[in-house]
Amino acid sequence: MKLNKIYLTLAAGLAFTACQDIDEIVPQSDRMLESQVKETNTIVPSRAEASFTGMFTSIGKPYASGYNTPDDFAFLVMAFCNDLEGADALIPDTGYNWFSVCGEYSSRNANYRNPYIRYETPYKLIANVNTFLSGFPEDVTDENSIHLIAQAKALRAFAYMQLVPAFQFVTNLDGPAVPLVTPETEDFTHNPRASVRDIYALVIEDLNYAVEKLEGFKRSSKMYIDQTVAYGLRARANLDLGNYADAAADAARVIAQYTPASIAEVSKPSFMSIDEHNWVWGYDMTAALTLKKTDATPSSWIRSFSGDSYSAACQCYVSINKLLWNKIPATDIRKQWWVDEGLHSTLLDGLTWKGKGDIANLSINNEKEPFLPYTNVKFGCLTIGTTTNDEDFPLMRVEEMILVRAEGLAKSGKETEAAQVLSDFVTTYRDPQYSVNGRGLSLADEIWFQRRVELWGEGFGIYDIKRLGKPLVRFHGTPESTNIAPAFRFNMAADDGWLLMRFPQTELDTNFSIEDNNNGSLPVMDQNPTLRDGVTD
Amino acid sequence: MKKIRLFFTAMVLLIFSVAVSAQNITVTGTVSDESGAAVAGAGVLLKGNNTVYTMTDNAGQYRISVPANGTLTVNCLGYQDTEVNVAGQSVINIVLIEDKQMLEETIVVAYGTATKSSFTGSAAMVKSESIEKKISANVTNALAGTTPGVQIISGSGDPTSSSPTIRIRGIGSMSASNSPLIVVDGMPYEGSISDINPNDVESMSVLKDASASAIYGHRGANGVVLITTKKASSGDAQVKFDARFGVNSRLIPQYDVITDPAEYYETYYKMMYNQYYYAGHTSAESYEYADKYIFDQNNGGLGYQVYTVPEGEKFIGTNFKLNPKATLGYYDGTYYYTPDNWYKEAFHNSFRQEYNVSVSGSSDRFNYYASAGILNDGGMVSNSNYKRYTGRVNADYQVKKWFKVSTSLNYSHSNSQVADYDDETYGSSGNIFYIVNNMGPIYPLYVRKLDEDGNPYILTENGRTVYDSNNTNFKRPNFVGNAIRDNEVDDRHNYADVLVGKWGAVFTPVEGLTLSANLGITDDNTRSTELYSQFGSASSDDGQVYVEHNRLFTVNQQYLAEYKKNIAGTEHSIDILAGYEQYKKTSQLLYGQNDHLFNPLIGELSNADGTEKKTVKSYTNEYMTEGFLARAQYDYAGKYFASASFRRDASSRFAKGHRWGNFGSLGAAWLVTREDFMKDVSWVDMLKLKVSYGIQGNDNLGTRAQWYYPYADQYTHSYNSSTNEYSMQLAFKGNSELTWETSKSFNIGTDFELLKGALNGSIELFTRKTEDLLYSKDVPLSAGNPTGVIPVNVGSIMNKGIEVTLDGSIINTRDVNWTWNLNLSHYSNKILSLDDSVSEEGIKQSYRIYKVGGSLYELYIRKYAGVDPESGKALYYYDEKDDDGNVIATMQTTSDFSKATQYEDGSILPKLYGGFGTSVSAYGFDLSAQFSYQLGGRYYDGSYQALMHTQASAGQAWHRDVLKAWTPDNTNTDVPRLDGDIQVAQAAVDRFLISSNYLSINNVTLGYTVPARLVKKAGIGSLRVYVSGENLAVFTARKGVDPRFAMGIGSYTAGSGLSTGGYGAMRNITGGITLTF
Repeated sequence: MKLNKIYLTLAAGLAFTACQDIDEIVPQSDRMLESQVKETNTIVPSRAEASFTGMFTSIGKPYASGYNTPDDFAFLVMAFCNDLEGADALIPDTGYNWFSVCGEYSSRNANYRNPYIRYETPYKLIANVNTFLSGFPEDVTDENSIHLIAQAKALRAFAYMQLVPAFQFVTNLDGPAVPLVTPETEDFTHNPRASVRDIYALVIEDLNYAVEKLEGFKRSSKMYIDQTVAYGLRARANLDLGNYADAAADAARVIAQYTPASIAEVSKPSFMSIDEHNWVWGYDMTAALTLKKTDATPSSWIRSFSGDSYSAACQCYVSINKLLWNKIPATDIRKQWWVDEGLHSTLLDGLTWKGKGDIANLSINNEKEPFLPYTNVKFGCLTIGTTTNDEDFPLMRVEEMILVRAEGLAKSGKETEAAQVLSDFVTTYRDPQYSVNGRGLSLADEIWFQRRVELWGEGFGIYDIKRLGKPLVRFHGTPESTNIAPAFRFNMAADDGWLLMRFPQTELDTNFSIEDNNNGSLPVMDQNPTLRDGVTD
Repeated sequence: MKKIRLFFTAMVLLIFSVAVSAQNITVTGTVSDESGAAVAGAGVLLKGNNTVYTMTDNAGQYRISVPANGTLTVNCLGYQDTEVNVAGQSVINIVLIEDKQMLEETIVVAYGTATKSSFTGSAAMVKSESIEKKISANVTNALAGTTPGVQIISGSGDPTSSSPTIRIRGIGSMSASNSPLIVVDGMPYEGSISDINPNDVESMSVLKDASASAIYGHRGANGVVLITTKKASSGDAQVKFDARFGVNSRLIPQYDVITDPAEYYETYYKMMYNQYYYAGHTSAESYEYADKYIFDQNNGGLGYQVYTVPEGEKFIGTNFKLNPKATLGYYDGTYYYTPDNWYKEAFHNSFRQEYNVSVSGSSDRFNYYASAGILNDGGMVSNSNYKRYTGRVNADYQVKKWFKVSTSLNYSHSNSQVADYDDETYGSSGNIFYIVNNMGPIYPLYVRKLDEDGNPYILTENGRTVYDSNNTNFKRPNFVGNAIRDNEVDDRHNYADVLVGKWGAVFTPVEGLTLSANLGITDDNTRSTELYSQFGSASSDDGQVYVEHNRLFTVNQQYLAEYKKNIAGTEHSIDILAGYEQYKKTSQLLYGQNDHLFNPLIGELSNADGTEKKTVKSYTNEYMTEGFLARAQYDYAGKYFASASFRRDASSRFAKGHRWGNFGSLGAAWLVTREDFMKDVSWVDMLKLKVSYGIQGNDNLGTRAQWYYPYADQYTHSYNSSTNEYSMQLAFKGNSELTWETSKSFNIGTDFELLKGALNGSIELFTRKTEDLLYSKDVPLSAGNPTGVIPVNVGSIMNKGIEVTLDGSIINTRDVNWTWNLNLSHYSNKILSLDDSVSEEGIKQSYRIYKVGGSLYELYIRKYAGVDPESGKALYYYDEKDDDGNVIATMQTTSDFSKATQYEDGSILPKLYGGFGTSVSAYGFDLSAQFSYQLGGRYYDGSYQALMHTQASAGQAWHRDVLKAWTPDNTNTDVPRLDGDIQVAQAAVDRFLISSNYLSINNVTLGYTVPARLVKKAGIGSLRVYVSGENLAVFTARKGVDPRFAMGIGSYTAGSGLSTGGYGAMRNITGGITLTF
């Protein structure tokens, strides 16, 4: 027999087999395993910073929640929804409006995507921060590490401040808010809702740390957090907590470092680049991120100048409620941040869209529908008609801090100083003919009015309403009083339990200590027609 | 059969060809079988002298000249050899006894074949005769309705991706794959099944229980489908040619929607009126509201006016009727608007043609089969078709007595054009099927103007038809762009080149011992190009192009040693197999996209001049398993059979230390009819009892990148070119403890043949318990896990079921043969345990619940309590709770949907499913029909829910059932008033559950085989012509529903509810001709 030959063949086969090692299988892709990350960091030590940067990138990352839908872009979705659930920002009632759940308030649904994203996003960031913080030894002393830790903690504070007001009125300090998660949290499945007070204790602790440790720290980009941002965040937290004097003091530290945008600067569509000098902190959107999905970006929704957007292509422009717009004096440049009934705004003068003028009425199939009355032109695009949608988004502007300072002063007994701060800002930077008492509002309401106009579209809408204990007023009893679509036309009392969000089903299923919000009911068209908020009356 | 007999006889005669001796007498007679039917083609020979022979004619008669004291041997395939002493008789009639052993089916099983009687496991086999009848590019479609225990779920008619979902004996996994392992000619296959030409397939075996499939170890947990390709079956070369031509058409009709534009407007007007009226306004205000907004797409209206109403008159009157003076068609000075029937415009019949030719032959050392096939299969919408070219060579060569090599090569090239749809995403305006099924009947498809004479015409622009994509003075409130246009102007092509090869060497160094080494590869290179036209949705980018190259390379190595021995002088025989197998898969991608196409028609990156959104990427992912296998089979006297198998496998999906798993099985069978005490039971021809138990594994968490390395944390990264910084994020949280999911199967059954073939069948009972389930466990969102889930091994599930197969012949004569078959399966699915962290209340989702004691297909749904006859509002059930959360009253009704309770509402799985069929052949004609059915299950008809919208959903189609909505005059109805209520929105309500019962006519074939004597002169061996209807009809509970689309669980936007976005099933009617020579 020629068995030798046979064995030789078999042996050769087995030898070939032995070359393959099941242990050597690792991805060669955009995904890296922990071992590959370590390897990279050893070869290129500077790559270690990438996970720190990653926390900031996550704030507005398209498709961050994996839904792969046009309403999936992390914190910037949360900000957008805060405005659409408020009184002043609206999108038409059409099939193209991916945010109609906000307009009609059907977002209180445990199984919907929108509330899921708004709940999950901050917790992902919190988890990243906690993991990041756990990576440092307790006795870390080197300055660079301290700066990273301080920024991470400030981010965590930011995340909680975005989360808490959705689930509890921040004025209800002992009311249950959301689960508190820190690096020490072990049992996520029995983690009850912590009170607003307890969570804000952590927020203030984190921000105190950041303020202290970031002294003298120079950041490489305004996407990161330096001491002024930390002050600004603490100013917001103090405002939430009613620590008005502290809020004013913190805001003053920011104001000292930045100059508001001038009338000239806001006389054209802007608020699109992190380089704008009035931005204290911003989200640096890159083309590398938007390429993943250009329509899941703020540029696709709140900006009216993108050639690849829901706003322009589907006439889903974000408009201002004319209840508020009517209250803006004609001498205020901000009156022009929205086109009027006749689609006119001076901000459009001289602008062209791919060479074509009369942008307001311009119609390009699949790309650009004519503007609607009160469409915003506040937010610009780096190139009109762009399809990259990589405009940056402001997370904190000095103008907000001026208004925080004014509010802080006004509510801590320094009304005169507050009025002066407000008057100085508006007169210099927005409306030369401004008078604080011009509308006859209380100083507090006047400041809120200014916030509503100045910060429109930047994520403060419903949070301000709830913080200030105001009702949600979208119309004044008649269809003609507003331009909001009938389906979204209703008012809600300040204490309406439906203003609080519901927990997503996954959280209810897996965290057994959660007791959901269950007050209120879905608003009905034209309900509460007589409610007024003091500003748009 | 007859052909085979002739061949066999000829072979025998050939072998024994020696001269005849003297002293002969002439003997004549008839050879018949036990039933008295003549046996044609039987060989009659003189024993001991191979040159004296003859063959029976068609009447079974023979005439032979033999010595008067000789002995006649009569042989015929399928009968026992029979000897008769001539003893001077001149007339000898011979009755042949059927040879059970010979007749017995050989079935293809794991790593070899087995006779049906010795097989201890559970398997079903489909042979080429029934596969060839199917008009389908995908061979696994032949399993529908023909194999018990196998569920084929496919309502898709897409010619380019017709792979059905196959479920064998229920659903055993929660998060891991439930798909069976496909093995082609002994090698695991992960390519597309459509790349295998069904005409090349000799048989398909479905291995269902552990005894049959445990030797495949980790991959056999969900059953195994073994596909065996053809080999030569005769010594003489045979050429077979088959050509078929057919027509494809849409099978599933449209739902019964409102098609009259006037009726649609009236209904919508009424809805708007009610919306305002029931919000507390007066009747007059409500008319005013509806008048004001009905055409206003930004305030909940329809956008389009397609009727001309006399100046100053109301469009719809206060009686909710269209103004009788209104005329269809509206001209606004620029454009003319009239609705089009999108459904009719989009769908059309198409042509299908297929040609196959094969050549096969064998000699004592060489066996050769080669084939070539061309298929051109059209779709039911434009730019949807599939062209496939296949070529196969299977060759075996006996090099030496102890050494044989075999080679099998299959090459397939396909070129498909893919329609624009995605049946897994809800509500995309770019999905041609979704918009056609959901577009309201008032919208134009085309842009029209009026010519000088006032006649409307469809606008064209540079030779292109101008489609209505909101580019007129009206805007639709829904459906951006125009998906029919996009499907015309865009271009999506897939080009696949697939080489599947297998090389084997078999050594037989000593008798009974076989050593074999096999190497199998699949090399699948698929290039996809997608061009999104500047005349379609990509206008703002001046056209976009996406090019993708996917390379799938798998290599499988097998080293097997098998020893078979009949122990001399005893009735013991053994068969032992041992081996090593290694499988490695490499999946690679190269991808690019860009925009700004210079030439709008060229879908290649080099034609794209964009600079800002250029993207390229590539990756490689690998997967590997290896394992040792062993099997022993024992047979005593062809009566008692036992088998045992063992396999130890490792998978790269698990971390070191958790990688290896042990699997195996035990089985036994008893052929009762071989016992002496059964000898006199004449009505039982065969009776076998069998039992098996085994353990199998599953590591297949899915095909997405993360599931290649689920044990590990995974990070993704990006770069910011303005800050020159990289950023990295955790993208997946792995679990290093993750290991095999195991399923433990028990099978007990009987196979029988009764009454001389009049009733055959099998009955089997099985249980399948899956443990350590691979499960993507939800973690609290507050934990901030990047995907919200972590993979764990947790919980167990039990599937229990029964399968019955029956077949038999009703008439079995020489000229007429009529047979029937029937199979039925039932299984239940129950969750036995879940993770400790899951409360007793289970894992709840918007429409389903996973709970101990429930099934994987358990509904968790709000319940509809009908319409409040007073108000017309929809009512829902809820359980009232006190402040402590205790239920104080159940099944109360409320019209506040947010208060409605989600109830557990049982499993949706069918109680019974299966198929039946019959076939008759008579005087050259053959007629067969095959049906499948499903009974006792439910189906969530989310598409119907979408068509029954009470909320605005402006512009979307309405089912005619909304006309039954409550009104003050029509209070006795179960359709709530149309008032724009958004409460329910997309939530699942039991109101939209319907029966998933169906009966489908899968195939009816009528053929005629021209008598051999007529074609012989033309040199033709046989000639058959046929017509075949595939997927002829489906009878369901509601017009428009195809319960074969999904398992039945779902919602408006998920699961079965996505059906209107799918490529509906197609009907095919084909005529063909088969020639052999």
